[in-house]
Amino acid sequence: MISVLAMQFLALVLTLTASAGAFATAEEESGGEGKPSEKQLRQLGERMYRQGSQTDSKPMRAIVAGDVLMDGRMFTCVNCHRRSGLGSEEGSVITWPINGKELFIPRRRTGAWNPKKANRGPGAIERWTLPPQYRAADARPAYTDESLARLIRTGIDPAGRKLSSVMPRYVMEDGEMAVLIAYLKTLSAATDPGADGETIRFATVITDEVPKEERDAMLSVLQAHIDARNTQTRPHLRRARRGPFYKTEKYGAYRKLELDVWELQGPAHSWRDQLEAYYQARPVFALLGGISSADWAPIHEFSEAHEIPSIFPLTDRPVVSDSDWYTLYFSKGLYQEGEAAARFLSSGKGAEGRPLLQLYRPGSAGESIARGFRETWQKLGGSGLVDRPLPTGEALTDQGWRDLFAGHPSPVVLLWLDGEEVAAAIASGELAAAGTIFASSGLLGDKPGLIPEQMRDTLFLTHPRSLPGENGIRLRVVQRWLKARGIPATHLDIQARMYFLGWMLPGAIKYLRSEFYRDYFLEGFDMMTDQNYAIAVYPRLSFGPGQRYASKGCYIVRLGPGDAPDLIKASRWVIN
Amino acid sequence: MINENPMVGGRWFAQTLLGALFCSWAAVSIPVAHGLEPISQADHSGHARHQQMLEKKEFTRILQDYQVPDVTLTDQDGQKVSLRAVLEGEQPVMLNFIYTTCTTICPVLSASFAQVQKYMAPEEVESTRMVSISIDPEHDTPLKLKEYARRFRAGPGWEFFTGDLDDIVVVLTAFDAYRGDKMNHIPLTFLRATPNDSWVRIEGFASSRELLQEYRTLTKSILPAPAISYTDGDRFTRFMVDSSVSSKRVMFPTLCR
Repeated sequence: MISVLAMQFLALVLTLTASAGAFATAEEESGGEGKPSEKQLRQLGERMYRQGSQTDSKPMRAIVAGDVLMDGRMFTCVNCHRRSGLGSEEGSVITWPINGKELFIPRRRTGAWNPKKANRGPGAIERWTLPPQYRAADARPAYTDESLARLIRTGIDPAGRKLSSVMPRYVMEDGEMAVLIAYLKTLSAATDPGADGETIRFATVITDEVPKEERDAMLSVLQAHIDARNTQTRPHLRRARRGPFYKTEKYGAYRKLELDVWELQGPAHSWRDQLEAYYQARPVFALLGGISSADWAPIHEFSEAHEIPSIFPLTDRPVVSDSDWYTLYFSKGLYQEGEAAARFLSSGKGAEGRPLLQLYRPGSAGESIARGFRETWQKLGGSGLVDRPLPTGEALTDQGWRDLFAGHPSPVVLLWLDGEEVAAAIASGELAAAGTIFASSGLLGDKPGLIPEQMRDTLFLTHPRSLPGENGIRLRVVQRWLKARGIPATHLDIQARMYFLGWMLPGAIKYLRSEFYRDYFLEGFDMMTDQNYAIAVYPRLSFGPGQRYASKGCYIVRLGPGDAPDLIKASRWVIN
Repeated sequence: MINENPMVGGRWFAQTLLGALFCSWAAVSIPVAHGLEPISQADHSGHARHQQMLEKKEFTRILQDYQVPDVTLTDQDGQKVSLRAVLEGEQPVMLNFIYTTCTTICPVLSASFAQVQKYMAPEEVESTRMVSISIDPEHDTPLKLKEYARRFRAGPGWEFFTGDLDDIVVVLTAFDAYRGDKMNHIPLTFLRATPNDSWVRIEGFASSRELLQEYRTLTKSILPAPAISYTDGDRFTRFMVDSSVSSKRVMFPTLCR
């Protein structure tokens, strides 16, 4: 017994020493005054909260569902409570807010009498004078550091209630606990920039190479949505001032929406400075829509740096990342076409172990498709891919095409080139023996008729949107909406996508209630159900926590006969 | 047998938390001396309903017959597999529905599966099919499922499936698990010993011991009911579990200052 206790004591000393070691490192970074800086502590707390990593980089540990051991690599606070700390609802499971603003005040029940401080005191209406339904007691008192630590360890709140066993009971030393609690105190503690007591300010980013007609098509629909919502400003503000107290939460949340237009001029490397200048002059809560034909990366990086949500920009060249957080795209754009082709071939429909030859022009849209194909093909364990970038601006002669294909007998050929070049490559006659040829229907444009009919059995096209005629009714809904608002239907592809954004926006704002935090706004989209009603461009858009590309699919199609061939499905929308 | 199976993370409990064990021992032994206010039975004497709630199981269990639909799904290796071949073999089956970006329900269900697998005897692991079917098949590609399996340290015998959305809806409907959208799903676990038996449908969150007990009852296993093993890690676990379930005492941590 003595030896066991001695061992336990020794282990305790070792554990505390290890913990102190982690702080020593942090102190060194801070230049040392004996304590890590507030910023360093917050980073450590954030790492615990988001990555499940203790200050000593070991995974946090807990027991869930009564007896299940889990660690921070499986899941951690952020999974359920989300990045904002405002919690989530999933089926029958409700996860409560744990942000700084909520934890350290008593939890009033929704609809309970909750007078403003100024209205309390002698002569004021007291809770017990109200009808019984408004006399609800607080659900729990305010947390203290001690009661919060006890909850995190045992699942028992200050009111003595035991939380569902879905809430992990964490095994955490005091030093770690202090870091986590300090972080929770700062989490969503103050309203984010861009929202105040009256307005929520948004911006939309437009780059200068976008034709005026496309710019106007994007902007007019977005502005029409904002204007339509703002027509309710006066009655809602009146209700907020004079409405019954049990509806305070609802009416008090109303804000007028403002939309700024951020026009970016000149080369892409100068965009970041321009964005910073716009932001400094008038901070916005989030970016909505936006349009550019260039790489969206500079705007994406600006959003990441300032943690500003950017919802549904119109771009074919988004940043494709598994970990970036703040931009929600319609799709992976061109990249997604290459990804779909790789999945299609990998699932056994045409590759059959033969070599693959991939052609594209550097700097073109085709290069993005080629990258999507290459990266996906590698991830899927594919081999035999030969990348052949063609010289920029140099048209190949028939002989050039023949030379190119001579060394690759009967391969699978991926032609990520525009319509005329695809036709020229096929016309060279060297692809007659190829079993499978891939091209992009978007790059082929209005030239599919150039493809000889005898080659159409071997030609597959990537088509990352609904097929013609598939979304007729939804498109007519958009057309009617535009007509009712006097907006000419000039670019339905752009307008339909902005219509969808406007259709989703009220839901995300309603989800915010009065909690104007950017992370929470983004979570409003994350937690939305899949949509196939208001979107005329894609068969379906789906959402989910951390999912940043709403369209998950891309058809692989074949060309039918004739000069204006139909597109015939060769795959389902999503290829697994 | 169970003792021989390393638990999920059992080593880290053993290696790093002996010190905490000391504290836990201290909390049980001398709580008042350190200013602790244990939640005693007396504290709850006037709150029968409250106490009842504390002891209430967080799941329901019913027996149901389901017709396994004839659909083809894709496993985590990208292979097409008939669902009937997976679920209607002679092996006992444990089934749940998950998606990889799920916030609350699926991580807990998956951690439970992982722990049940660790608790099982080797011959049980070998003879059992543990099946997780994605309810977000458009996002959950085979690669994503593979990554998810690694995250939860799924052992051999635990397979993950995705497929066409329409097929997944058919499967969910067949198991009365379709709730219109993945965001509305509920925690469900299904167990069946042979294709001739009914399915046990567990709705809610069962502990790994409860799941394993259910499995052993169904398979008429002669193995003993799952019990706590007494490695260092398990001793600590037992203390944690017993303390939090009974709410009789406050645990060690407030002593560790």
